[in-house]
Amino acid sequence: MKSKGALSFFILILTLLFSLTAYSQAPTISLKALVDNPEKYDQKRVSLKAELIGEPLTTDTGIWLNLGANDYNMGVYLAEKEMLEKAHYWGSYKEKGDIVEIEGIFYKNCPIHNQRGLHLTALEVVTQGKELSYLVSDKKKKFALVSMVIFLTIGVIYLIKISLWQKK
Amino acid sequence: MIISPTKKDLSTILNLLGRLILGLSFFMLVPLLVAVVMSENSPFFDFLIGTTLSGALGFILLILFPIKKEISWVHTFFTVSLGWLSFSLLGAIPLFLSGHFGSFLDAWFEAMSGFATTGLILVQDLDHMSFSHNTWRHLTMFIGGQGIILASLSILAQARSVAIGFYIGEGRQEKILPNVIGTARFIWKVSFIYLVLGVAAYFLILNRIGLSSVKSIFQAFWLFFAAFDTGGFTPYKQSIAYYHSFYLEVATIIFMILGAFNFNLHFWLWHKDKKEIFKNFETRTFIFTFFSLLLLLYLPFLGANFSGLFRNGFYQLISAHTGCGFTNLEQGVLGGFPLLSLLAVIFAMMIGGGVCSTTGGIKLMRIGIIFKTILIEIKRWIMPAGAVFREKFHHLNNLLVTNKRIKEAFIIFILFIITYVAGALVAIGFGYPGIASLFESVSATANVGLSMGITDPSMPSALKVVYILQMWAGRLEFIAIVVMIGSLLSFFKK
Repeated sequence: MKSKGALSFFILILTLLFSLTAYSQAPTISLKALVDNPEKYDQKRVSLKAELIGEPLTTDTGIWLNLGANDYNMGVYLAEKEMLEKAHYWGSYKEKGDIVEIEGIFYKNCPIHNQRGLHLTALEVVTQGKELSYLVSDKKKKFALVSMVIFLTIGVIYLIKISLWQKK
Repeated sequence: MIISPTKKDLSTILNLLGRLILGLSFFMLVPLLVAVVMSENSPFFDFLIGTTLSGALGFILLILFPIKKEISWVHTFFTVSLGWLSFSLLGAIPLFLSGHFGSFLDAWFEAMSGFATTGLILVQDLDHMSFSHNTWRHLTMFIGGQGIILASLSILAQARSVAIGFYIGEGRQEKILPNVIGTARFIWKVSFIYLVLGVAAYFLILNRIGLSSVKSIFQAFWLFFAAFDTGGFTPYKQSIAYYHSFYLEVATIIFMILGAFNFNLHFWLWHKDKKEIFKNFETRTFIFTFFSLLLLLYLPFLGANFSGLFRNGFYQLISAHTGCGFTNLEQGVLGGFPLLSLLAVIFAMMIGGGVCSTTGGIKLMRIGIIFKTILIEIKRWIMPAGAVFREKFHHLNNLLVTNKRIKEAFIIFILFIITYVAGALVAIGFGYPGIASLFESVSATANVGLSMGITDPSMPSALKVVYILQMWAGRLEFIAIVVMIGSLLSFFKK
């Protein structure tokens, strides 16, 4: 009995050690590096930082999120929506999305979804996103005003000309 | 002898152009309204500037250049050619002001891509673009697809006598109804019905997968414009791959195919004979070319499962053949396709959809006639020397393969092939790989929008200009541009 318990403990320790090693071995790479080198990272655990884009999607193929960094993008599959509890901001015109550090296994051609993408194992918000506000420059406002005045003036001249033609 | 335009001709052309530009200014009110509704301050000013500058230019042309001559074919060809150029330049103003483009050239590229229903993009940080700018990007495809000129035809009553010139100049060769105004209105009516159906279908799918109701309704409209007008823009950098939805992929396929059908066929199916779809020459040519190319594309993927084949091949080929340019592949996947599969996609892009549809490319009718011509020649060799025979094809009616049809098909075919190759050579000259250069050149000329990665804000400016010209020439099927250049040369020679 005693030896059986020791064996179980040993297996548990070994599993934990293996997991830790696996996690520590996950190279942190850029999204660009992953997109440009799919063969290199195929079916390997990777870690990367990127912005959450759009919204979480619950589709016929599972739960998905999309990441973006420097005009590179990638879809990420996740088994449970609970993994997204910490995420609040999703990149759009009005929001700068949360910058997250994710870990997962990259598939050049996932056998389940038949798509290229990552299967998420962990997600951490590194920098919280924010609501974006855009200031309109005075230059733009003035230019808009000037172009409107030009438009209205020429429009009125055209209408006067039309009415003169009609009188003729 | 070339009929050389006079100053009176130029005045008439610029007057017609002024009317079109006023129409464009009116269209810009749509994104302006979206900016108001969605409280997008900066884009509001972008569109205010765009609409007022375009409107002012339209009025100036109307004031300074009255119609001095009865409108003729040359005027309409000029107007069509200049129409696309001026629309893309003016349409680029609000895009440039958005701050999402590295230069005005990039914004012009995007606008031309929209109006020509191509779908190649140079926009940066697309995922953070405003609702109003996205509305404008997608609306340009609707305007270009449904035909800037067709829209105007419905309004310009005095242009009735030469309306066919606008219509043919725009690369649509067949009339559906006895008069072109009636044709234009039929196209608008059919498009509106499909719009309602398409938007409803896309809304339900998008809302179900998790998009908010507001996003779903906007994106449903955008995706409809992009699919039915075979444009290919999407609000996300990942294109259709962003949504990860099989149902959306199927729904986009349906509207891509509907958009690639000849509008004559739509008319026939709606008002006359539903069986025409099985008998029609273009439909049969499409089935033949599509499945032949699908076989070519699938050969390197043998052993993959159905879902894999659908995602990796079928969708791209439909998108290429209809000239839409949507992709359900993640970034970089297309570039990794085997050579044989890439060639299949390139051939599909080269061919395109039906004449009198929103697609670009050589078109199914011409490809079919070229096949028939080859068949005729083979028969001529086999049959006795004095034998007389006539080759027919069914397109709404039984028609003869005449010398005139063969000549017209070959002229357009050769012009497209020359442009495809010339564009590829330019890109090769800039150091890009051969197959990617051909892919991108065909995609631009045939107004498709699929990309192997050459089209990027960092590409050489000269190449951007070449692609802009290719998109413009491909959209108008060369004729209107050739007529314009020929007439201009003769004007300056005088």
